[in-house]
Amino acid sequence: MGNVTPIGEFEQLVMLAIMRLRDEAYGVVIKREIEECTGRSVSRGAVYTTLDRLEEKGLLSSSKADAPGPRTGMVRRYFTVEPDGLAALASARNALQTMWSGLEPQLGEL
Amino acid sequence: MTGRELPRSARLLLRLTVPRTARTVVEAELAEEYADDILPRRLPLRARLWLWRECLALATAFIIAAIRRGRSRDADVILAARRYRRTSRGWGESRERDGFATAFRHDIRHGLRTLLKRPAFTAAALLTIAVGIGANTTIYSLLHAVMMRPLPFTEGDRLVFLCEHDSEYGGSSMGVAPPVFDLWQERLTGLEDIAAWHSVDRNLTGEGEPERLRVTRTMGDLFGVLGIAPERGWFISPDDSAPDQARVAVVSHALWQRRWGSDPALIGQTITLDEQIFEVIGIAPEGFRFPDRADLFIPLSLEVPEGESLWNAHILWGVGRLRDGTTLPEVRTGLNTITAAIAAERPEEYAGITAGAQPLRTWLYRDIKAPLLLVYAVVCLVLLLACANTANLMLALFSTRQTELAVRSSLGARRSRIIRQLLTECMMLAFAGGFVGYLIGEAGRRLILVGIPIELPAHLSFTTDPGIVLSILLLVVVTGIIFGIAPAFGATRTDPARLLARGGTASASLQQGRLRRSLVVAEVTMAVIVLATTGVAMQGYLNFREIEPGYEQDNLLTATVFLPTFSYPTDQEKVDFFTTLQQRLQALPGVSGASATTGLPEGRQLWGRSLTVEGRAPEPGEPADIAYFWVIQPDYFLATGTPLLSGRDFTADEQALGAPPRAIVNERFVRQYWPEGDALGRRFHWGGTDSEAPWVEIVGVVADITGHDPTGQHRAGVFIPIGAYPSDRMHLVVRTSGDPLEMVEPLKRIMAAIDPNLPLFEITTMAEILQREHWPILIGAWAFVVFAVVALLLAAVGIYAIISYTVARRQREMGIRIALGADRRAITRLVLIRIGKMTFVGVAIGTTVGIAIMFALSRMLFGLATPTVALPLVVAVVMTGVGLLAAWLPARRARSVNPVDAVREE
Repeated sequence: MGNVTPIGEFEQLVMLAIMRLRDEAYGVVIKREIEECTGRSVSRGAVYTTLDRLEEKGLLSSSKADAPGPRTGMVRRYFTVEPDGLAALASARNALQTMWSGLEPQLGEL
Repeated sequence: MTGRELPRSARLLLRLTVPRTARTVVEAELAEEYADDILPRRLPLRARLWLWRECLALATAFIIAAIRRGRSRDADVILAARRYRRTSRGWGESRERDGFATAFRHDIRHGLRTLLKRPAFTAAALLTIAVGIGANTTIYSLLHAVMMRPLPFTEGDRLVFLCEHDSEYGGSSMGVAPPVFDLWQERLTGLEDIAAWHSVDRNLTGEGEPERLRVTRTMGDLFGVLGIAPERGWFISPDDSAPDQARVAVVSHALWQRRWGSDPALIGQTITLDEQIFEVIGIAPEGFRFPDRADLFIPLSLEVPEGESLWNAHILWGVGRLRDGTTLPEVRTGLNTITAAIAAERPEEYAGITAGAQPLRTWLYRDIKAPLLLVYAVVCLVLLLACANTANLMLALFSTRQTELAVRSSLGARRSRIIRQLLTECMMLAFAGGFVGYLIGEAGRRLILVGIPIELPAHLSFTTDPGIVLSILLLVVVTGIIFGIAPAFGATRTDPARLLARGGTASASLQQGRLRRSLVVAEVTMAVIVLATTGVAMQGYLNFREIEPGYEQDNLLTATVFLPTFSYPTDQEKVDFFTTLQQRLQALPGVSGASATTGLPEGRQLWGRSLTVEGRAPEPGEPADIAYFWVIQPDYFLATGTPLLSGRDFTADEQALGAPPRAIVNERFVRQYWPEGDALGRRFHWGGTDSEAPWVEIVGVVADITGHDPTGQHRAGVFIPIGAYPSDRMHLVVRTSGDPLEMVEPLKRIMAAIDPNLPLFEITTMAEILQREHWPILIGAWAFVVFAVVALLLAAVGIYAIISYTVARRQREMGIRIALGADRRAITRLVLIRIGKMTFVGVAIGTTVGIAIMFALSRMLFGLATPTVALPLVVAVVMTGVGLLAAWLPARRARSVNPVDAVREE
């Protein structure tokens, strides 16, 4: 994979959260998902700006839609991970796995 | 908040920080979470706190993202520009302009980032400018109203005010005698037309409560000269002044509204003023209450009693309109020619009298212009001080960015380009500071308006208008240039190659050091000047308060009574009225003394009269002796608490008509005519040496009542009993044992019992009169104190910032010194001596200028402050102390430098 955009840790978290949420991925839910999975609190602004940045890089796409149910007039922006995003995630995971491999004896006691 | 909407302020914050593309969603989702999850589960206050925390975090995140994005874009821009420059030669004009606009936008963005990166610095600089601009805005809006706003008359700047001056009273203004006015009307050529007026108070009776009105009596075509058209009906014409004409009146808009509910049918109806019937012929336009707060305008008709002349009746104030092409000096020459002719005809009455003309504006604002200008000068100094301070801060900021500047200049940026960038940052600061300052200034203006306890003249309006805003904008630009230009040039003077070679840590260039030192000196100088000015103002104020008033100011109720000639035509009736009133008042429980006078202490109206002291003939050509005089009832001194120094008070018999003339004089009178002897039993008579008036015997001497003369130059004064000069207008003074206002109702009842048609007006306490008379001095003195504290603080902050900065920059040098064995105390001393020298130079210059200003001020301020040696000394000590303290705090840091750390850090 020659031309993969490198992504940071938080960007990975955001993209993974979107994938876990499937069709239900929008701002607040993404934030909550990360918080629940990682156990750390996440700033709303960080989530939004990261979403913007990832979309600008072409790793995500978004569509606006009305919220379901009785909440008329509520606009939501739902995100999906693009193929480039998937590639970036895969590449990040590979890089990490490569880095991890062979270190088991040293990490054993952790 | 309805449904899922965020509070307005939160939305505003998000609108300012979140890009438009993301905003709707961000807002909606935040609102949703807030409404669904937070509000139901938390206390309202905590929910609100949560919301604000979230909003702020959002705002911060988006700002940081914008800066990051901008930065990477900037890098692209720089690279693109370099490519562009390499490939193209000879830029066309349009490209140049294009380049300028882009560069300007780029400058703004870059400046914004730089300033936001240093919030503490930005806040300090912004606040400094805001204080300077704010103080300036407040005072400027007042000054603008007084000096620049067009007068509410047609071509108001062509109007001149005409009066006479009496050299006997230091050239003080006095009205024009009607015959002189006639001569002016006839002979003055420089003016298109002239008119005159005379202000009186009249009782309005008839329907409704009797009311005391301020009436302007007009002579000539006053409305025509001022260029005012009536709102309804007609105005008074010059013919209406003829004695046989029907009496007509023009009602002011305010009175029309207040008393007659703006009823248009008022025109043609009649009103009763002092028992005389007037027909209302017109309504004046709104805001027209010439000369300042008139309720009503009536023609002035003078009926001269047989055998009396009006040559001594200095009652008219004149106003004229300059002819096109005529100047004020020409009018003055014309006036002087006429006065000289009169003086030649009537040497005795006209000795020492001159005529004068000045712009109407100058006369209208005569009392407040000089103090206002003075305060404005101080405020400008404070602004300059703020500029010097900000300049210092900018210099420090720019020199921490030397590496950045050097890199840019080695990348091909011209020096002018970099200076433009730095100046843009200064301008941004100036505008932001100016905006905050404008808000401060507006608040200050409102505070002053609320704080002024008196009714302002109708022609004075302190509203903000575009002119003021424009002036402030200009001021902001000038401010930005003043504080930005020196640092911008100073910071770009270094040689980038040398700087970069040294790793960007070269110490500030020599010029920069010199600039910084001069800024500190300038700050100290200006602060000292402001302090010295404040010192004089405060000294004047304190002296003013310490003056023995000559009477007791507490528990004194005053009110004014005016007896219309039609109800009280004879002197006997007037005397009887006041005698009865006094007797009944004195019988009231809770009243320990009651009397009446023609002039209250602190009152501004003073009557002067010429007199001849027995055995003292003035030299030929010397003007006659003149004394102020007051008509009083017995017990006046008892009621006011004025000490009777020798002799006795008037007796009840002496206030009867035709009683042998007696007088009580003040100390000053005695000092003037019998410096070493006793005055009791001595005599004088009114008028010149050839006057037939009877001799008046002096029966008592009282202390000077300084309230009559706030400048403290007590004048010779004479008190005479009411029978000797039955006045129709007297001010009551009632000394009470308790709260004087509790006596108001009993006083009104007594008045109504004697004559139900007489209004009692100006009912107030002496304490209130004092407050009203002294508020300009009080406010002025406190304004000075505020400005002085601001100036001192600004100077201290300036010194503190500079020393901290210098210490931080020279840490390495200090470290090496300490490592080489220098005494740590010696280091502190080094820093302190350095700042001491600068402070000393500043104090020396400031004190020199300050002393000059002090002398000038002491003369014009309240005439009360005498410059002393102590004052400059105190100012110098305070300033030096504050300067050293401000330097000592950071200097201590220099002492605790750890040499190892200091050297390693580099």
